[in-house]
Amino acid sequence: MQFVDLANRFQSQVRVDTCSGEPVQADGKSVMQMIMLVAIEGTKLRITAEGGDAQAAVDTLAGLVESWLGDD
Amino acid sequence: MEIKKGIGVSPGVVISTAIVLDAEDLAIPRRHIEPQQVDQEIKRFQDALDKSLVELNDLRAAVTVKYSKEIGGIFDFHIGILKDPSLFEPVVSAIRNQKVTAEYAVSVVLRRFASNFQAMSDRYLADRVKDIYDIERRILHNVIGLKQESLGQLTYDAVVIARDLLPSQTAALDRTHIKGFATDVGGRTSHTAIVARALGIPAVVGLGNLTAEVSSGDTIIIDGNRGVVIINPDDDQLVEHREYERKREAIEIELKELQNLPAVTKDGHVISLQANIEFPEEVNDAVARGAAGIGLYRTEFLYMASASEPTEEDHYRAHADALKRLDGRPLVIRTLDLGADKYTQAKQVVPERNPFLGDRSIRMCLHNIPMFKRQLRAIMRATVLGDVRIMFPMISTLMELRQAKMILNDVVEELEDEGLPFRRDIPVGMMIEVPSAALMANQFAREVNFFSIGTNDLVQYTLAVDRTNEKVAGLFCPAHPAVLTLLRDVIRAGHRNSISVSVCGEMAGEPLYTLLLLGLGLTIFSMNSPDIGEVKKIIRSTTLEHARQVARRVMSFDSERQVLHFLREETRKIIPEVF
Repeated sequence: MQFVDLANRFQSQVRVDTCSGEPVQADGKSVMQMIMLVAIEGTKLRITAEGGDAQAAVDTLAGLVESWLGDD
Repeated sequence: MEIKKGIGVSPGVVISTAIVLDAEDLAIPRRHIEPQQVDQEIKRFQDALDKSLVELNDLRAAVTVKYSKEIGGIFDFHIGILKDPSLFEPVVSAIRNQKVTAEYAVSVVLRRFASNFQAMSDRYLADRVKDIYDIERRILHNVIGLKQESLGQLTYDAVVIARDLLPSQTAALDRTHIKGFATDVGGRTSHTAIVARALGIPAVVGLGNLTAEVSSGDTIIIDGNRGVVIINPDDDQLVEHREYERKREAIEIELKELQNLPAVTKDGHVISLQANIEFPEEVNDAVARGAAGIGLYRTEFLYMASASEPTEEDHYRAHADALKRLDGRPLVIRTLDLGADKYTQAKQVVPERNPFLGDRSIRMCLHNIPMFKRQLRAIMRATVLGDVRIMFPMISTLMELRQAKMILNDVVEELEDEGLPFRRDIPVGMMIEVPSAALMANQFAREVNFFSIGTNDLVQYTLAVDRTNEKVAGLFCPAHPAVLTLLRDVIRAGHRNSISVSVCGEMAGEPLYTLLLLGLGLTIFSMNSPDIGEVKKIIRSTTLEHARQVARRVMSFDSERQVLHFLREETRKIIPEVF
């Protein structure tokens, strides 16, 4: 939920996939699609963004995900 | 007039008017629209979404104030879905391209969400289906222009009849006018039961098809003590229950006066009466009702309230909150008892065939060591804030206990290495709720600082009865001589090894069993706080010597019928007004 909230602050389109080779991509601004991605602990994620603030979006979101890893 | 038998999950009796919550799905026909109506339909959908969002934001704010941030967080998920482009875009495109009504488009898209969730292997996510239905109802009500039947603004007293109460319904209801719950489904640990106990109103669940038999406006008696609901009672029953209600009020007043008096027998034996709680907020009420501490703090709410597993900080904050409210009184924290009937079988991939005999409670913790350690770290860190005790649930073999203690030791070493403050000498105990543990109480007693007997599970496992199954619930009886023998032996084993023994199951809060437990040598009773007054009254009205005689007599019986009959007679002599 935090991820989606954050993603929605950027204008760029945010896509997330699980690096599994499957062509499943989720819209980073959609709770539903992110849930369907079923990223359990230990899953590798790839975050891509397209648009004016793409770099900032990717950096911020990757930072958030990394901060979760720090919790364990 | 009709009498229905269910499971009483929150005590008390109430006579009131029924409000039946519409549980059946709104039937949405596939209706086509003219091309020129498309924009209007999209606007209807947009307006309904906006309105739903406003409602949910209000609800979240209200609930956060009334209960806690964790519970308010339930609605973050709802709000997230409402804002989701995966909802908005398909609905708009269905209206535009298939020329269907807004309500039909909403219904189709959300049903697809629901079936996606249902297909998930993760139990937690699969359980979110209920939230999706909740969201669907809300949007549809707004699209169709129906105000969702608002339990927040009642002008008269009522009882709520529903198939199962949805989280948003219970959270929003008006506490001053709602006097009871009765639902078709549910068990002891269902959402309905927890909310009812927290509010101190009677509730009966597992009533089958009650919603089909009651109409809003019917007069209903909900008897949470006996697990009975009477629909449109006749005059005799009304008189009987009014009388009962009136007596209850008189008793309540008398019990209030007892609140600040100690729980001590006439011959001077002091008994400790403690409370069972789910949420830290309940501490205040427990203390106000005279609890000497918290004998059972269930920590599952942390897992129930948020979408992801709680962090060490989440645990720590909750414990710190409870300890602050307790102001030096003891807090027995039970480690995670998830599994079986509890809220969610978190992280479970394959549904278990027999969850009550499956990977639940301590077993699940020992299979998820990182999660278990997070809990233990938070508990140990909280030890410097008050009188903390740790209790492991569902222990069935010595190996399990030793493993759990070993992990606790690891955590202690970690904290030490990190230089974090904690108290090393806190009491570590276990619950006795499996017959194997009860039978081996002597061996266990050498390895723990205290026992707490969970009678609900002990009865269920000893008698092989699932009391949420209405067909066999009648066989569930703590007075069964087999159960009583185990109880007696566990209490004895504790005394022989000089460790304290408490009962934290429902039996501890039932006045019917107070004399017996007292006579068996029990010195710590932990119960839902509304029960403390009555139990205290019995303790203050008798002597330990008399209670021992009662217990000796009870142990000579060979059927639960005799036991119940005798205990009822004996208890009536002390507090005739209750029976």
